[in-house]
This record gives sequence, structure tokens and C-alpha cells, in this order.
Amino acid sequence: MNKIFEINNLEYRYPKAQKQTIQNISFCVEEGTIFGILGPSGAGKSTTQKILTKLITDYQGEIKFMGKDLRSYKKDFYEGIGVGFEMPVHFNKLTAMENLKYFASLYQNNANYEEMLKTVGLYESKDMEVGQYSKGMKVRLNFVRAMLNNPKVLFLDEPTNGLDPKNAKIIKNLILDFQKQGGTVLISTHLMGDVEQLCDQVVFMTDGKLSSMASPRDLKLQYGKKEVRVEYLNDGKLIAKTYPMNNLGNNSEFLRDLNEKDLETIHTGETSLEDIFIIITGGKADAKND
Amino acid sequence: MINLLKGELVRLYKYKIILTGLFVSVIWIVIVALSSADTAKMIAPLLIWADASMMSIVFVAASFYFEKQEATIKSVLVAPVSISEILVSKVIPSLLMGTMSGFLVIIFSIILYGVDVQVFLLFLFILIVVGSHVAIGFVITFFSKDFGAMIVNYFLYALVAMIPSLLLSLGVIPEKWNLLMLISPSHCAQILINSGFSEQPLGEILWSAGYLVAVGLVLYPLVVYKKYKKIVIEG
Repeated sequence: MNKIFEINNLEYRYPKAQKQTIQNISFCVEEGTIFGILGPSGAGKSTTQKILTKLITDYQGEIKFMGKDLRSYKKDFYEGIGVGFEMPVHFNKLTAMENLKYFASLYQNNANYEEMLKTVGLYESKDMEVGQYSKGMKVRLNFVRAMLNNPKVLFLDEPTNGLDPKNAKIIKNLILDFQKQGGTVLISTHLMGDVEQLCDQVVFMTDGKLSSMASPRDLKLQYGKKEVRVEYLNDGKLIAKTYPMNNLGNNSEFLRDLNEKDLETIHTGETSLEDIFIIITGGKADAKND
Repeated sequence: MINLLKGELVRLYKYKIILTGLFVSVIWIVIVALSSADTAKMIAPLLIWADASMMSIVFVAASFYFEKQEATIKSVLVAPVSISEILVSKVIPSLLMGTMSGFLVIIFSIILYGVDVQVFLLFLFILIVVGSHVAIGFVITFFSKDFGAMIVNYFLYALVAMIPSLLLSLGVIPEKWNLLMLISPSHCAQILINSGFSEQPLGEILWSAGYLVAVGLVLYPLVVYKKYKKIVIEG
């Protein structure tokens, strides 16, 4: 699989900051994957995204985009990428349509944004001033803005933050559709629900450093408890038991419960990504489930 | 570039910045219309000077803060446009607004009172004044933490550069300070605008034109260009 980004020994410090915002991080993003950069607020996720989108250019280290030094790309770089910021970035006194027409006019290649407005449920409000939009509507419009130029690589910063479950699901489905069409996505988020449903690979960032890199499944296996928990009712009283996963098929007590009891629930002892987030980021709990 | 410029004009229209500029122009015209012929001849250059210098700064600052507040500049920065193109798309409307206001005052001064104006020279000088003061407006804005600080810095600039020049032209500050005042962009602007209406020393005109062009040539590439992206990204 081709590498979209190869980041080696990346470092960055804001001019007035006392310490490095990004501290010697290295990772790769493969083409066609959804890559999550996770971490608490202030960990350096957004700064990393700003560097990868060439908004910050005075970094140290090496970044290769499609095999070439990122610094060698000129403004054409932006024809191939879409960026969705965390905060809404629209002209509030212009309608949604006027905003999209303006931004679309800056690109050579345009997506069918009227169709996209329909998909995210904003078509009926397309002629309303964006200032009158709710936060959720602005977030959805942000996504359409990011997709305006049919990008190959999509950068999304907290793409579902502030959305209700129905609209969050619409955005997540659009992200998955984008991936199915060969697109690569980099998501910065602290919403573990998004990560579980979307990401193929994730890295955790804490204080500008990368703590770990793996798939969500591998992380769960690595940090999960290798055990099975069963619950059943015994004389109207709820009984919960935990068995070690190892050699479970030969565990006579477990097999007896399985055969004799009327089990209500049975679960493996997977640690949730939220728990893993807290473990890896050293208790800087900022993870939420959407 | 054309699309950026079109977008900027639409934005300025929608945010009523163009309308405000027109409204200010109307106020200047009303002042000229309500004045006697002699007074109109005296205040027309003052109005054009105030508009081309100080109003240019105000409009640039207001326009920038609207954009910064809504973070729309970030969204433009991740499109295939260069910083130079973005800046040019912001400077051109300022030049249009600055010259439009001056043009209206000149036209009404000529129509109502037959004021003798060197029209083409005055237009050239208005462009130089607006262009340099838009750059000054960017610098004042970029070095202000927020809108409140920008207002304070704006008044400080007016106190240091504009008011002494005004007092000098009204005779409150003695003529002997004229030479020192030539380091003030506002005073140089006043000399250039006045030269469209009445004879001014050639040396002062050449110095003022050269000085303001130099101010623009230094500020745009060395401060405005370099700071623009940084300010937007870092806040």
C-alpha cells in the first residue's frame, strides 16, 4: 500500500511557547486508510494537522507527501486535499450556497455540492444566512466545505463534535464512503466513538509526543483483560462471574454455568477505547463517547 | 485571483462595509454642500485626506476582524491561493473605496463651487495615500491583541501622526515644525492631497510621494505578508 504521509522526527515550537508543541514524532499514513490522531485538548493534534496541511511551515524534521518533501509543494497541493476545521469557518452574513460558491470558485475541480447539501440535510436551508444556522448545521456545512474540491486526502478536526447521533452518523457514513472511493482520511479527535467506528490506524498524542500507534482492535487486545464475564439470575438475584479467557473451553465451572444457568449476558473483557485513552494519555481524561 | 476579488467585494457588500463607506462619503458630500464656496475649497482637501488616510485604516481593521472572528481566513488559506493573491484581493477593494469617496467629494466640489482641482494628479496621490495607509492599517491590526486594543492603537496613531498634522495645517503648531512633520505618513498624505487643490512646495510633494510609496513597499512584503498567515494561524 502506498504511503500518503511519511513523518520523521517532526518537531515544532510556537514562537512564544516555552516548550516544544510537537516533540520528535514519527508515523506513516497509508493510502486509502482512515488514520486517527487522538489525544486530550492541547496535546498537539491540531498543530500536527496544521503542519500536514502546510499552514505551519517552519517545522523541523521530514515530512513526505506522496513520496515528495511536503515543502516542495506549492499552492496546487490544496487542489488535492480537503480540510475540515473543528470550529465553523464560514461567512455568517452569506448564505450556505453563497459560501460554497465562493470557496468552490477557488478550485479547479468542484464536487456536486448541491447534492452534498441534500445528503447532510442542509439543502432546504441553503439560502439561509449561515449566522442563523445551529452549531450542528455549521458543522455539517464544514464537512461539505472540506469536500468541495473532490479531494484525495481529507483532514478532519473533530468532525462530529456538536452533532446529534443521527447527523453524526450521516457524517461518519460520508467519511466511510469517501474511503471506499479510495480517499485517505486523517482525523483528529477525542471522541472515541468516532475512532471505533471509523479508524483503521490510530496514534495517541500526549504533550506533543506520540504514545502509541496501532489499530483500534490491536489496542483493545493489548490493553483488554483476557477474561469473560457472564451474568445470570439465581433465585431472582443477579449473579456476575468472571472467567479467564485462557483455556476457557476446558473450564468446567464456566461450562457448567453455560449449560445449567439461564445466562442473561456474556461479554469478553474488552477495555473500551475510552479506558485505553485514559491509560495511554496518563489520566488526562478528555475522551468522550458520542 | 479574480474569484478572490469578486468574493471579497461580495463579502464587503454583505457585511455592509461598502455601504458604510458610501454613507461616510455622503456625509462628506453633505458637509461640502452645506458649506460656503470658500469653506468648501478649504475643507474638501481635509475631507479627502481624512477619508483616504484614517478611514482606510478603519475599514481594513474592521474587515480583518470580521474575518478573524469567523475564522474564514483559515478556510481560504487551505485553498489553492497564495498569500500575495489574498492580500491583493483585500487591498484592491480598499483602493476602490478610498478613491470612490475622494472622487465623489471632488466631483461635488467642482459641480457646486467650481473648485479648481488637478484631477488626475489628485487621483494618483489618493491611490498612494490609500495604498500606504491600508498597509499601516494592517500593521496596526496585526499588532493589536483584540479589537479593543486595535481601537486604542488606532487612536494612538491618530494622536501621534494625524492630529499634529491637522494642528499644523490649522496654524496651531508653528510652521517651523513642518520639516519634522515630514516623517509622519499622515502629514505626507496631507501634503499630497493639498497639492491637488493648491500649490505646494515641489520638494515636499516629491518627498511625500516617495516616502509613502516607500512605506508601502517596506510594510507590505516585510510586515503584512510575513505576519498575515502567522496571525491567522496562531491567533
